[in-house]
Amino acid sequence: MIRDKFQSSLPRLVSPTLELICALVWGMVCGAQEPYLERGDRVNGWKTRQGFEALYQDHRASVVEILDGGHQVALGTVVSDSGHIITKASELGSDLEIRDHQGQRHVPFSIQVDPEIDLAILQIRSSSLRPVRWGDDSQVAMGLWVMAPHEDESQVRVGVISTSAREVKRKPGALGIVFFSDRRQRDTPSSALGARINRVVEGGAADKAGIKEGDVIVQIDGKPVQRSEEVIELIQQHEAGETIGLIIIRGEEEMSMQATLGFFDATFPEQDLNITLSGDISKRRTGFGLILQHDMPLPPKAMGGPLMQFSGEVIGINISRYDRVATLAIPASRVRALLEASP
Amino acid sequence: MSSSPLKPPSLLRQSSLLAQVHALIGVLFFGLLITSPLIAGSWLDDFIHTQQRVQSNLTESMNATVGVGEGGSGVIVSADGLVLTAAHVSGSPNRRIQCIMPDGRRVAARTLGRFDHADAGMVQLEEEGPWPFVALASQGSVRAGDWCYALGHPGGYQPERGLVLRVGKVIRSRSQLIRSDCELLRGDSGGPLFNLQGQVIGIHSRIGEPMDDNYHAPIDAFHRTWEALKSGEDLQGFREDGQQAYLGVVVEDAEKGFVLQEVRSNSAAERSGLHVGDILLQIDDMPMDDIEALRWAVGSKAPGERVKVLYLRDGIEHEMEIELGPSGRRHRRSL
Repeated sequence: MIRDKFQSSLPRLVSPTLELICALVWGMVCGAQEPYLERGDRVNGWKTRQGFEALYQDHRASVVEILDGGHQVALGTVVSDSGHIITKASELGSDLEIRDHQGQRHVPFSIQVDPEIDLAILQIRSSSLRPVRWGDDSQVAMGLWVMAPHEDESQVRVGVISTSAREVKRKPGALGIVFFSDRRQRDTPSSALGARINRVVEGGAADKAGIKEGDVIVQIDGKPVQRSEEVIELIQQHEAGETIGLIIIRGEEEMSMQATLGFFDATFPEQDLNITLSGDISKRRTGFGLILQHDMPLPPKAMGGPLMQFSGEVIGINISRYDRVATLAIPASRVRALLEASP
Repeated sequence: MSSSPLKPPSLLRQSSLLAQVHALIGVLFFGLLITSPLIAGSWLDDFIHTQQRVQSNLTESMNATVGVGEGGSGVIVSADGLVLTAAHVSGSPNRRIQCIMPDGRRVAARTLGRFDHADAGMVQLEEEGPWPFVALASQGSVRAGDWCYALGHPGGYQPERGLVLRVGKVIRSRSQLIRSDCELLRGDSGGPLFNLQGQVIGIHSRIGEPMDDNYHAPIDAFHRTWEALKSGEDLQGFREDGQQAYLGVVVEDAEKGFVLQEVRSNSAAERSGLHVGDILLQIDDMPMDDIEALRWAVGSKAPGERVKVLYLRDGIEHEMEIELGPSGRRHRRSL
C-alpha cells in the first residue's frame, strides 16, 4: 500500500506516509526507541493546553457559541453587560441561537452587520455573560504569545502573532462558471452573440440560479456582453453576497436570471493549491481592512471568538481561518470603533 | 531537556509502566498529571522565556531570510552570500535564479549542489556582500522537545505581508529529517527553522496533512555534505558521498518480499549466486515490505559493504552474505 510513496516519487510537501516509512526503516535499523515529543506535550497538545485552559477559565463567561438551525457556525465574544455579542457575519444564517458557557440558549432580538469587516453585533437578554477586557493592539508585535477559544468554547489554542499588522485585499465574488481558455474553442459561431459557458461549478452561484453548461450570456446588469473577458470583468466588480442580473440564451430561448455571487475560494478551491493543503478554511477569507495574523490552528467555526493575550486582555476578534499557517483577526481598536459607532 | 512545560516524555513513559504494575500508584500518578500544570507554574515561564528569546533574535533572523527562485524560501548563512534552501527549491546545480531580499530587492544567484535524499540545497548570491547572515547550530545539537521557530514565505513572496513567523517544538530529530509542529505551507520550502539561540537547525522541506506533520531537512545533513554542496555536486540517492551500492537485480512484487526478475551479469547478485525467481525476504533483518525499504537497504550502503540477505528459493528460506558492488544503471527497480 505504501509503495512508491517516498522521496523521489513524491510531490514535495505532501507526504502523509513518509513518517510511517521512516519509522519502519529506522526502527528496524536501530531497534531502539528514539526520542519523540509525545502528542500531548506539543505546543497545542492536551497537556500543554491544560495550563492555558486554567488561565482561560476566568474568561469563559465572555465567549458564546453561535448556532444556526441548531448547529454551531461560529463563536461569539461578549462586548457589553447588556447582552451585546460580536461574531463573524458571513457564517450566519436566519435561524440563530446563542449558547452561553453554561449551556443556556438565547435567541438574539437584534442583529446589525458591518459587511466591510464581516462582523455582526447580536443582542440577547442575559445576565450571566461578562464583557471582555479589551487590550491595546497598537503594541502587538511578531512573536507575541496569544490564545483563543477553539470551536468547542471550553478548549483553547495557543500561538504567536506571525506577521506585522496589514491589510488582506478582498477577492471578488464568483459566479461559478468556466470559459474555455482556448479562444478558438470559445468563440464558436453559435456564441457570436455572447459568451458561451463551458462549465458550471456544482453548488456555485450560477448552478443555484439554474444556469447550465452551454448557456450563452448576452447581458449582465443591463450591459450587453459579447466576449468572456467582458463577463469576467463585470463579475469581478462585485463581491460575494451581491446579486447580479443576467440574460442568457439557451437554445432558442432568452431567459432572465438572478444569481447571488459566492466566495471565490469556496467556489474554486483548486485555484489555490495551498487551500487544498489547509484543511477547513473560512468561506470568506479576505478583505477586512487591517488585520492581525497568528499561527493558531483554529477551525472556521472558532471565528468570532476573542484573540487574547495570556493576561486575558482581548487584542482582536478572530475573523478568518485563512490557510494552514494563518488565522486572521480584526484588531480590538477597530472592533471598539464599530461598537462605539453603533447605536 | 528544558523543553516540555510539564515533564520530559521519558519520565511519563516510566510512570505509565508503574501504572501497569500497581493500580494505586497509577491513580496517584494520574492525579499528579492532571494537577501538575496548575501547581507547576514553570510551564508559563517556559513560554514567556521562549517569547523573549524569539523576539530578541527575530530581526536578525528575518534580515537573513530570503525568497528563492519561483516561490521558495532560503536563508543566508555567510557574509559572502551563501544561501541554504531545499534541494527541491534550488533544483539542479549551476542554474541562474533570483533571490528576493526582505526589502523586496531581487538579487541574481546561482544554484550550487544538492543532496536529494535529505532535501538539502545551496545557492550562492552573485552580488558582492557583506550580506546579513545567521549562524548554524552545531552538529548533533537538535533534540526532540526543543523549542524552535520557523520563517518563510508561505504561498510565495508577498511584499505587503513579508515573512511569516511560527513558533513550535521539535517532535523528532533524525540524521535526515526533523519534524516539528511549526505549520508549513507551499512557499515555505527552503526557509529556515531556528533554535532559541537564533541558529539554523533545519530547512523546511515538506508536510503531511495533519497540522503536526511538518518536515525539515536537518542542519546536520548540510554539515555532513557541506563541501560537496558548496562545490556544486548533485548527490542523488541516499548516500552523502554519492557512492551508492548496487546489488544487480531487477525486482517485481511478490506476495511477500520481491521476486528477482533479472540478475545482471557481473553484478554482486550474480557473483553471490542469486537466481531469477528467488524471492528477497529480508536484508540485514529488515523485512522487504515495500520497494523503498529495499532501495534504502541497498542504496544506503557503499560499494564493498556486506549485507545479510534472507531469500526464498523453491519454498525454502536461505540466508547468505553478499558484498555489494559499485553503482550500475539507474532505474527505480534495479538495485
